[in-house]
Amino acid sequence: MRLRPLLRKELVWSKRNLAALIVLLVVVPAVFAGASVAFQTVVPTDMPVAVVGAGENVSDADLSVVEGAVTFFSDPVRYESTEHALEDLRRESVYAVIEIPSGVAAQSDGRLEFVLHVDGSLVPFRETSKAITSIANARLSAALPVDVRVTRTVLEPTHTLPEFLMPLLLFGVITLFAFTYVPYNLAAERTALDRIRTESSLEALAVSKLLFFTALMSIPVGIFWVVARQFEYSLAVLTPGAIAALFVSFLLMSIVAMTIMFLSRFSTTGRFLNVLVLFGLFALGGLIYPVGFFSPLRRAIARLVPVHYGMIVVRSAMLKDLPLSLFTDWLVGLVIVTVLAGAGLELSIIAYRRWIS
Amino acid sequence: MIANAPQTLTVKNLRREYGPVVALDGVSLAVEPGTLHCLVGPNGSGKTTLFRILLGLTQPTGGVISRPEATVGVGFQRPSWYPDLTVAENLHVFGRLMDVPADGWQEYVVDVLGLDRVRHRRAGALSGGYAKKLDLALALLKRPRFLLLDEPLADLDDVSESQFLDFLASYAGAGNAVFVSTHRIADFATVLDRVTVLDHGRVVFDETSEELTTDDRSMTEMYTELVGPTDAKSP
Repeated sequence: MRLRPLLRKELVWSKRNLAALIVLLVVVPAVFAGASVAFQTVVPTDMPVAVVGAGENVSDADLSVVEGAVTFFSDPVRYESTEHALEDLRRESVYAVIEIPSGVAAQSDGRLEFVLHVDGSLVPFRETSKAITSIANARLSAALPVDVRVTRTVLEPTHTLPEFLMPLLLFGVITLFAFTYVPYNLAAERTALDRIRTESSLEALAVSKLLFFTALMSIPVGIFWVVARQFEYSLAVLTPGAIAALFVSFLLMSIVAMTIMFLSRFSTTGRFLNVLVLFGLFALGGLIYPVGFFSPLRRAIARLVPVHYGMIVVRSAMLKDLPLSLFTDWLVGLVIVTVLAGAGLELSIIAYRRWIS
Repeated sequence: MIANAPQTLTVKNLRREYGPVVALDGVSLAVEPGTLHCLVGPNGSGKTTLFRILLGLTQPTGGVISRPEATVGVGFQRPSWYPDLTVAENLHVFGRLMDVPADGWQEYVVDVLGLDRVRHRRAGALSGGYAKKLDLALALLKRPRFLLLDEPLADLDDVSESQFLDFLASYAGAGNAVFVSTHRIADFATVLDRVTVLDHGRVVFDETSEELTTDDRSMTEMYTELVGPTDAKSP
């Protein structure tokens, strides 16, 4: 066996494909290793919890006392009204709402009744919320010279774990498609681009692909709908809010994937970058697990990712069948980001044309 | 700068630079209907750059292009089609894209190029010759008044090459303009109406066939004298 010439060839080949190897051997490991910092605790210790007065008589001092007591297991956020706090509970902006009775700071005897509202559809938090209720009871009892009782109320319909997993699995499917099949399809047709440019345009090509692939997403949606019916899941797969968020999110992700391919001139590096974005979204985008359970850093990162909001809308709409109006701001934001991404795609096409000319 | 001209494809004083490299240096020529016009030059002479500028795929850094108001068909040096579609599917997709009427012309082109036997074969699995033929078929699909072909004989066998040359001559004879970019002048010696020789980005020769000898060897010798022996192919 003459290994040396072949080993030398591998070395030369690696030099020619340095960008792809840097992505795989440097960027990906760095992102994976760096992402570990986002996983700091197993049980949530600083998830956002709404603190709100049960009536108008609740003073700032009352709220401050409770905020101090619940800081041990949460990151308290003060709300002006219970209605607003519950709305944010439904939107997964907070994971529990503590209603404070009046007289917390002043009362020296008797009993104080607190109510801890949790979202029943958020299955991973259901059991945890029982423990948190006990902890809240203990902390408030220790902090106050009165008899404290914390009552846990579960809002929204409760679901099983399989039902909870369905929306995120469906979202996972469209994310996978956007960052693997779409770039593969575009790169596979690279040889036709010159003729497309003379008979049509790269913009028309991109738009036709986006429209077609977005329409294709009806198939996995249909399959999830059939499976949900088959297993008699309490799940509104075809609710307008879920469909809208799912399709706009897919469109956005496909546009990003295509932009990467045009900017990388359809190279192998471009495909690896897309896979990297895919992993990044799953690891840091809060697509799989509610982000409130993770570190503030990871939460902050996830909340910078537009499709994170798309995932929450899909989950909320399917599990809770909430009105679309509750998420109008997020959906409009998602559409605006998608339009901006479309402008980015156009710029990448212009850059591609300049490069190859 | 692009001006409008209805009948003739004309370039004047065309210039294209890639950083310090001058690919085209003041190129002027005119492609007229009813002629088979060969653009000849050695590898790296600027033929493909000029070809891509004519198609609008590359922007010139200077000069004027007057494009005819007529249909233009293009054959690329590297065949350009969908590799995952069959020959028939490629013809159908691009035919629809070009609004080609169903008047039998497409079948005629398939027949002329001998593509019928591979009609249902995936384009990406075609041999080099058939891959080129599919590209030529797509160039001819809309029966263009201006047919621009970059190295059209590459990968064709001798019989196919001869048949296709005859076809090109008759196509030009029917009043269409055929503009061919090639580095093998001898292949076109018997059919061309005009030849433009490009070397180091400059036009070094531009004459009609009447002004040239019809002898292949003389044409090859003439070409060799102009550009040197490197790329001249003996007939």
